[in-house]
Amino acid sequence: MRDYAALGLRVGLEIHAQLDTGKLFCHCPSDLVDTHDAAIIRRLRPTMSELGEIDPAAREEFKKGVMHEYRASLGHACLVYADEEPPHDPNPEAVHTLLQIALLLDAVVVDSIHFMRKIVIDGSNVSGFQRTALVALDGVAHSAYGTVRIPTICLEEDAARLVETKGQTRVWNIDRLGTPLVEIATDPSMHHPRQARDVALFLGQAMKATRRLKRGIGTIRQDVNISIAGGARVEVKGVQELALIEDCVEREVERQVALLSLRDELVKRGVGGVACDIVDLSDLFSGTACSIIKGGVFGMRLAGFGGLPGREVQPGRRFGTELADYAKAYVRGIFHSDELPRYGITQAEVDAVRERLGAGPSDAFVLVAEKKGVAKKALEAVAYRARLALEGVPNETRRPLPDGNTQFMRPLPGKSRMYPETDVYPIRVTPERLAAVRASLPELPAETVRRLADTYGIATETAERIVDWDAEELFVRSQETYAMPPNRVLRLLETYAMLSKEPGMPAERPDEVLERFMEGHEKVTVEAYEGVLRELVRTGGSVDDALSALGISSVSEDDIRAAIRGVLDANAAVIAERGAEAFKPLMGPVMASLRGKCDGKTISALLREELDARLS
Amino acid sequence: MNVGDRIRVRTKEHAYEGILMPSEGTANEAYLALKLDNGYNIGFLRASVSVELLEEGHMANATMPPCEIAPTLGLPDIAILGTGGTVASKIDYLTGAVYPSFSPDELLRLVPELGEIANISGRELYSIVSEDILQRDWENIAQAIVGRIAEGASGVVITHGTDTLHFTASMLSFMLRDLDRPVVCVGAQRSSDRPSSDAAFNLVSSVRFAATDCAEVVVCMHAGIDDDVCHVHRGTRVRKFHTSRRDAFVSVNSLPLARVYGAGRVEQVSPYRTSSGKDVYADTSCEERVSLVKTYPGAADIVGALVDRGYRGIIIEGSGLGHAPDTLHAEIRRGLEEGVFFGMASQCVHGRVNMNVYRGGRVLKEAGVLPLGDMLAETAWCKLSWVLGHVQDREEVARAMLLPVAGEVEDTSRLDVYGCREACL
Repeated sequence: MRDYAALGLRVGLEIHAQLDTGKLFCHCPSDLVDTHDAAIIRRLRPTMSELGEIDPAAREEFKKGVMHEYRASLGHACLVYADEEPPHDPNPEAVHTLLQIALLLDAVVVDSIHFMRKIVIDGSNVSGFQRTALVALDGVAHSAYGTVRIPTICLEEDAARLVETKGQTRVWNIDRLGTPLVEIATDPSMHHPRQARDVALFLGQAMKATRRLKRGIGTIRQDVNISIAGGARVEVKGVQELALIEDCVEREVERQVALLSLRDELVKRGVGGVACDIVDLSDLFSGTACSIIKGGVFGMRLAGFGGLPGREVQPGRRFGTELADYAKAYVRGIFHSDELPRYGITQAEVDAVRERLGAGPSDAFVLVAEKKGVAKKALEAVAYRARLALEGVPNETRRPLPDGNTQFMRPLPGKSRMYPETDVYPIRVTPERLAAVRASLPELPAETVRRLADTYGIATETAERIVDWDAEELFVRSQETYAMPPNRVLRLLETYAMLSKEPGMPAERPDEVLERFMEGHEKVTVEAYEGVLRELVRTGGSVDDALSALGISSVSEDDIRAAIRGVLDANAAVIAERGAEAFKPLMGPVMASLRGKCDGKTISALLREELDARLS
Repeated sequence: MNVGDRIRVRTKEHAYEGILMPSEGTANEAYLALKLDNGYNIGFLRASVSVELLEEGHMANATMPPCEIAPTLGLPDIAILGTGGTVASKIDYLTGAVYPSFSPDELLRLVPELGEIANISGRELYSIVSEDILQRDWENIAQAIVGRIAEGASGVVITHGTDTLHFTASMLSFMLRDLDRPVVCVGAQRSSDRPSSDAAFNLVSSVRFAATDCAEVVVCMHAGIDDDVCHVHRGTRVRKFHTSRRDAFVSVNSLPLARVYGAGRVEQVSPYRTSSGKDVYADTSCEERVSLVKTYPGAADIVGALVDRGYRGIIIEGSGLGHAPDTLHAEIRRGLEEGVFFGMASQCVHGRVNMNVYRGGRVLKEAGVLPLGDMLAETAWCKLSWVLGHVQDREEVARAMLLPVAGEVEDTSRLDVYGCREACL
């Protein structure tokens, strides 16, 4: 167990959740559609800063002729998000939801909400900016590890989805563009990985309490800022699962500790800099057995780095991987000295490379198998990353990997350029309006669990599962209207959760279908839940329709007993001969005569009774 | 306390520091707006907070480093004249306010490609929102164009707000006599602070067209909502058809004159006039007491008042083939008797008026209302103002109105044009 306090761990969270209210500045729905009726071709031009400067990277991209193709589906997009019409008034339901979240988090709501334009030039926003507004300040989140301050709660627009990149053209789908996002940022005061997870859960529950969140993969995204004393701020972007937050923090701490010790090692070795002398090694590999090498091979010595590329910084990820991540902007990968000989590269070839590069045992080297221009850029990137190692931990934006490790995406961006969105009139939040929101605040999930458990006498765990499924309203109806046993409701929800993974199932849970099931739940045996539910979702009929379509008609106990007696009559000889032992051979014929109209458990109980009656 | 000052705002429980912003939108003094250090603006109800001055502000008035520009031999000299609108403007990132920029420095900084197409000289004539433009502004613009051409400009580009861009293009088409080179009117539908603005592409395309041999006043704007082609429209034949789309301008009853492609190619689509070899001059005499009146069912009291106030000419934007309701006929007759000139255009926009088909049209025509063929109502208004600045006799005015001066009226209705259809998705 690490002593996170001693390491000076500081974690901050930025949580984004999509609201299911339709788009923020027009009246289009915000569901995702993969077809499109229209494609709009645009170029985005870098704009000047206050000082008359244009971001060199943005200008470079513009000069390269980067184009954007925006795909839109009629009925899901209008002129607003094609940037052909000014924004409509902000979606009142989204604003209301933000006010609810702000109050649930004890934040101070501003008197007047101002939308801003945040310049985004990568094409993910058709206009070239994202609209965002600060709605509330100074909220609090609670966790067992202490209270965390929430400096800002914002309402902003989600971006378009990148479909593909075709040469100089980026293709986007604008179905997601303009979906309202809640953005909650905490201060970087969390000091334990578990606390980050708990706070994320707390914030998630406060947002879910509004019952206006979109459900499904990618609808909640967490950015986690992590640093330790002497390390640097690293942002892990887009963590989609709560459980991964804790792992990401642990693994990132591990990485920063490893990188700091690697720096200390370099200092100890007296390494003061990294030269980038690129050497053409192609001739050494003219007869190589390595299938990756197709022509040019270029290499570089990393003086004093001997043994370091192979050093682990996270489980399964080495310092060499960190070097490779920077090179990956240009090439698919690199070879470093600590992993060779391998991949068909022989010891003899390694020796030749060492000799040519003048790399002794205390040095490392890196190879890139590519054309000269590309190889040069890749090796320069490697040298740049190696130089950063002399400082310790670089400021980076990293993407989470499924095991909690992270991978370099890009350097941390600078401060964004923001200026007022003059097309949207500020929203006044009068004391009266705020009081009205406060008077009808939704209960937090923990309160809902308590209420369900108390009211319906169910176990806390059961109530928690129901709340996790966002099925509280459905559960209440199952009790109040349909008198369905709670364990059966749970079974129904479990069955749906399982079915929802089948292809062709709706993305969102069709609660009206589940309710129709509840209406006829008495006619469905537990064994038939799956089949009946699938039929209901598929055809949309009633439970009776589904039962008859499946060849299952409901039978009364009398019918079952009659069927059993028929079988007993026909098998009088067997009963006479085997007595109570006749139960086993008779079960089959009874089941067959009922053809799945009733569950085995009921049949076996009734058969036992009938048989006993005959024998007594 | 002034806008730009660094202040501290105290609420009951908290205090926030930042920069005092201008009042939001319209003058609403009940709220104050604060820019926090994180870049966000937020508003406070003045009555519920106390404010403390921390430091007097110096509104950032950044002067940009100069941009070296030496004229390139072999490139055309294009003059850009600014009249307002946001086609070439810079934003004050603090307040969001948009200011026009017209020095060649600023233009080249905003749209560096211009320097590769032409030697640019820029000057700001006005900075007005285009709905406020007046007759005398057109006179000044016309004089300024003649001046720039005399100085050697091989083409002139007028940047302009889009609301009345087509009025200006039309009026200049009449005022600039013996025009011998292109005068290109250009605007932007989407503000130039946004990376997606249509301003730069419209401006680049305009400068490209300003270097051609066309000798007409034209409007150059996006052809569709893609950033790939601009259309060049004849100044008397174009109209704004959409409140916000970047392809809002469409030629009516005629094809565009040309297309300008993103890669730079200029493709002529229909014939345009070229120089007759004479020197251009501005003939700006106009009659200001000319009105444009749209009819509607039961319309009344919309002509008589103008007649009483001494208006000399009225263009009626009638219904269908050129009709006005009975309720308006007596007023029109009285105006005609008092010597007011009446011309008829159609609120259908597309197509030609014909006042022979229905009785109502015949009655008005016989009374003296002149059918204006396939002329746009806005163009007819401009032309009548200009014509009445020169001749007053009814017969002469009628003859002048129907005599094409700048391609504004034609005898043939083309089979292949019907306005905005081709501009839609």
